[in-house]
Amino acid sequence: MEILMFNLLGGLSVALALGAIISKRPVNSAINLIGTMFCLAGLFAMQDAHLIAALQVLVYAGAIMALFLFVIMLLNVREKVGAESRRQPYWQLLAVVSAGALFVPLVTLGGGKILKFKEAASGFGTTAAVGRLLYTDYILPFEIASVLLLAALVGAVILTKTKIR
Amino acid sequence: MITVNHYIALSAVLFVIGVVGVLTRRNIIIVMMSIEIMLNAANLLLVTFARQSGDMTGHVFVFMVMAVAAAEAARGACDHPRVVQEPRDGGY
Repeated sequence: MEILMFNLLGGLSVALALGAIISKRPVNSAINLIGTMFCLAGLFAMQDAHLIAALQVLVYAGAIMALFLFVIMLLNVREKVGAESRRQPYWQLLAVVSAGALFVPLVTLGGGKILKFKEAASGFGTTAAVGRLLYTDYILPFEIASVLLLAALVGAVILTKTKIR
Repeated sequence: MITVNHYIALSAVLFVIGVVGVLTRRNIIIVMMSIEIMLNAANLLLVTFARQSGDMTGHVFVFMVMAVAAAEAARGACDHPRVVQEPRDGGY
């Protein structure tokens, strides 16, 4: 059952991510990417990261991708058809080869050993447990994240304004 | 049985897809989506190792990555030339 779910969600997420970078129209890319986010939320839930799985759906699939779709559809971003939408073929080949070279050390991250999961402690990854950690040990990074979001908000307003009075 | 290595492999595949997307596409929106794919691959790895070591610090890190991604998306929306209006009288 676990293997079936992993293969289903993992295969689907890879297929949709490929679709997102291959498809010509930005709207199709965004829809594919939303599917990838949902599959990854399922994979997070499989690993007892309940809060993170919920946040993945709410923040990534909900807020961030909605913002992307908003920008694409409001501004009618259209990619030029054909060769102009992609880089030169030799550059593409170089990119794929170098990315493949990156793939090898990433896969061997486990050091060649088979790392097995231990049984999770009760309450692992729940909102209560992660929230307690977030508001005690990691309260400073949490506050800095809120300042970062405020800075992004103010920056977005200033960047799009023509004149500041 | 699913081991940590399965998740490492999946994360590596997703990360490489993101790298290829950044390097081969010209559209700024699709490049930013590829960056999101890479961030998600890193998140998957963080959650996997948090589960393996039984330490929820990884979940806190994923939370921070999501906050940064949201800020990045909000800022990236301003990148498009048509969002930024033409200055009419000399700008700022």
